[in-house]
Amino acid sequence: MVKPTLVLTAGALQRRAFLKLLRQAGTLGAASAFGSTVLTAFAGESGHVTLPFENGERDLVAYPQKRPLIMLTARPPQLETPFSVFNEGVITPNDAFFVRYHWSGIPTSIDALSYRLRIGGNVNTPLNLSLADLKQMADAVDLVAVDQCSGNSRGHFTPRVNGGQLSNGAMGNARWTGIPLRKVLEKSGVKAGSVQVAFNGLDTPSVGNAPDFIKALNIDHALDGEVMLAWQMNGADLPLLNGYPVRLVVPGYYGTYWVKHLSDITVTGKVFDGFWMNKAYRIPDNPCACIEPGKESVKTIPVNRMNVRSFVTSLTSGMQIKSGRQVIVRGIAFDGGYGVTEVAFSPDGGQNWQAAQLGKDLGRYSFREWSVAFTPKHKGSHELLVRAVNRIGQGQPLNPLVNPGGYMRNAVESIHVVAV
Amino acid sequence: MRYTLICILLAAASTLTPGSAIALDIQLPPETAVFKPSKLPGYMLAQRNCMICHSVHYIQSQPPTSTRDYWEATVKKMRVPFGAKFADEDIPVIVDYLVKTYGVERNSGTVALNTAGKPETVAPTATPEPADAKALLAANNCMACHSIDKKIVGPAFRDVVAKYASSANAAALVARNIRDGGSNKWGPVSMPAFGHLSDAEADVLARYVLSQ
Repeated sequence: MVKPTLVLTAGALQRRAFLKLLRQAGTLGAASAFGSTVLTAFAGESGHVTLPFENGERDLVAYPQKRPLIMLTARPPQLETPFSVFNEGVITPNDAFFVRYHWSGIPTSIDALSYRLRIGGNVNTPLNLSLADLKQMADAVDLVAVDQCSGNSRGHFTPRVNGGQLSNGAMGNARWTGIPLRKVLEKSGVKAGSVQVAFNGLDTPSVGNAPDFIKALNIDHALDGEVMLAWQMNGADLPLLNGYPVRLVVPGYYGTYWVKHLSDITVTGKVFDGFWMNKAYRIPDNPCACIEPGKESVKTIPVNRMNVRSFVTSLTSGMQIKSGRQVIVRGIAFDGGYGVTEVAFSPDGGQNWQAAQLGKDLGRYSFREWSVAFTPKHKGSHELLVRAVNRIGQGQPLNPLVNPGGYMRNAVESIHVVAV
Repeated sequence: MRYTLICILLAAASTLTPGSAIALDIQLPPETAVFKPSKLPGYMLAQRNCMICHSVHYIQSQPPTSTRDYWEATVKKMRVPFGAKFADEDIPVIVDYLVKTYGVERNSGTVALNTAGKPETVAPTATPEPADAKALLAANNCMACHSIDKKIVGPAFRDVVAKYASSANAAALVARNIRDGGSNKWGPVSMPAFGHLSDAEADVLARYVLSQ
C-alpha cells in the first residue's frame, strides 16, 4: 500500500515548459487550419516512472492532445495519469486525463460534420442524429463526475492479480457537458417491455470475429435523467482519446460503461448478453464483491457502482517533512454518488484518527477535497492513513477485498513520510 | 501587419468552434516495444501472432509471478473469443515461451535469452523450400498483417512496390526490412524481425512483394 513514486528524468523535467509551449502551438495550429489537421504525438518526449510494485517500470509518453502520461500499453493506448496531477486541483485537466481502450481498432480521424449517432432497437422512431441535432435537442447540462477504471490500482494487490497493472492513476474528475440520455430516448420513444439499452462506439476489434466493445445499462438507469451524452469536458471538446465527439457519462459507475465515440444506442427487449457484459467486468454477487483467492467462483454480476475511496495527494511516500512543524495535509475522496460525508486521517498508522475538513462541494459525483493539520512530534518515519465514509455509511476496508478480476480496490491508503 | 494577420486568423479560428468543419485527426506515436529474443520456438510464434492485435506491453507488464496456467488461459482466450488465428499445436509452444520469458518460470534454466538484440537463428516450425514464396508467406503468417492491395496492420505489398521500386537495390532493402524488422516507416506499428529467414528466403519474399 505504497503511493506511486513519480520519477521524471531530468530531461523530462526540462522539457516540460517547452512541451507546454508546443501544446499551445499545436492547439492554435489546429484551430487556424481550414480543414483537417493532424495532431501528432510528440515522439521522444519521454521519461520513465517506476510504479511501486514489481515490474512497475513504465515509459511516460505524450500522445496527441495529452501531456506525457504513464503508458501501460501502446496499442491500443492505455495511459495512466501521474498521481501528482491529483494534487494540482480537484478537476483533472483534459490533457492529463487517463485513456483506456479495449481494441486496437480505434478511430484516429473523426469529422464532426459527418458524425452520426443512431438510436434504434425497441423504439417507436429510430433516429440518426448529427452532432448539431444532438446539441439542439435539449438544454445542455453540466455535471462534475469521477470516471474511474474498474481495475484502477490493480497492480497494488498482493498476491498480484493479472490484468492491466495499474497504479492509482486510472481515474479522473471532470466537468462534463452534454444532454441527458433520457431526452434522446424519449424523442425516439422507448417501447413498453424494454429491458436494457446497449451502447457501441466507433472503436472496433482488431480481427473481425472478436466481440465488439458494447456495454449495457438497465432501462430505468438509462432513463434516470443523469446518464449523459457528453461532448465536452472541462469546457472543451473531448480529446479524441477520451471519446470525441460524444461519449456516455454514467455518473457513479465505473468507466467501463462510459462508452467513447458513441455511435449506436440500441434499446433491447432482453438482457444484453455480449462478451463485455456477460463474461468480462464481472464481480462476485455479494455485498463486498469479493471472494477468497483460489476459491471457486460464486454467482457474478456486472461491475457497477463505485465504492468509497480516499487519497493523500499533497505528500507521497518517502517525502521528507520538518519535525515539530505543522503541515496541512491535503487529498481527495469520492464514492459512487451518495457523496462523501466524512474523511478521517491517522498520523500514526491507525492508532488515532482525526476528522479532516472537507473542501468545496462540487456535487456528489465529484472528487471532494479534504485537508487536515498534521505536526510530526518526533523525527523518523510516520505512517499516514486516510479513510472516507459516504452518506449511506459505506467506508473503506483496512485490508483490500479481492476478486478474480482485480476490480474495485478501495482499501485504506497508507503512505510513509520521514520527519527530519 | 503581422499582428493584424494573427488577429484575422484568430477571429477566423474562433468562428470554427466545436462542431464546425474541422476533422479531428491524430497520429499515434510509434510503437517500439518488441518481444524478448529467445531460442524457444514460441518466440517466433508470439511475434507472428500476438503483435497483429496488440503491443507487447500487454505481456511484458504482467506480474513476473504469472503462472503457466495464467498464460495458457490467456493464450486460449486470444483465440476464443478474441479471434487469433494460430493452430492448436502452437498453443503450448507460445505458452512455454511466455511463461519462461515473462512469467514464473523465467529463471528455470531452460531459457537462453539472447540479449544482443538480434535473435540467434532458430529452427522455424516448418521450413519451406526457399524458392516457394507462397509457402514462406504462409509459414511466417505474413498475410495476417499484409495484403496485396490494401493496408491491414502493415502496408499493402503494392504500397511497398511504390515506395521501393525506383531504388536500384529495392530487393535488398526490402529483404533487409523483412529480416531485421522496422518501425516508423509505415505507421505506428513496428514490423517484427524475421531473423530466422536465410538470405535466400528473405530474397525470395522481397522479390515476391516487389512483383505485385
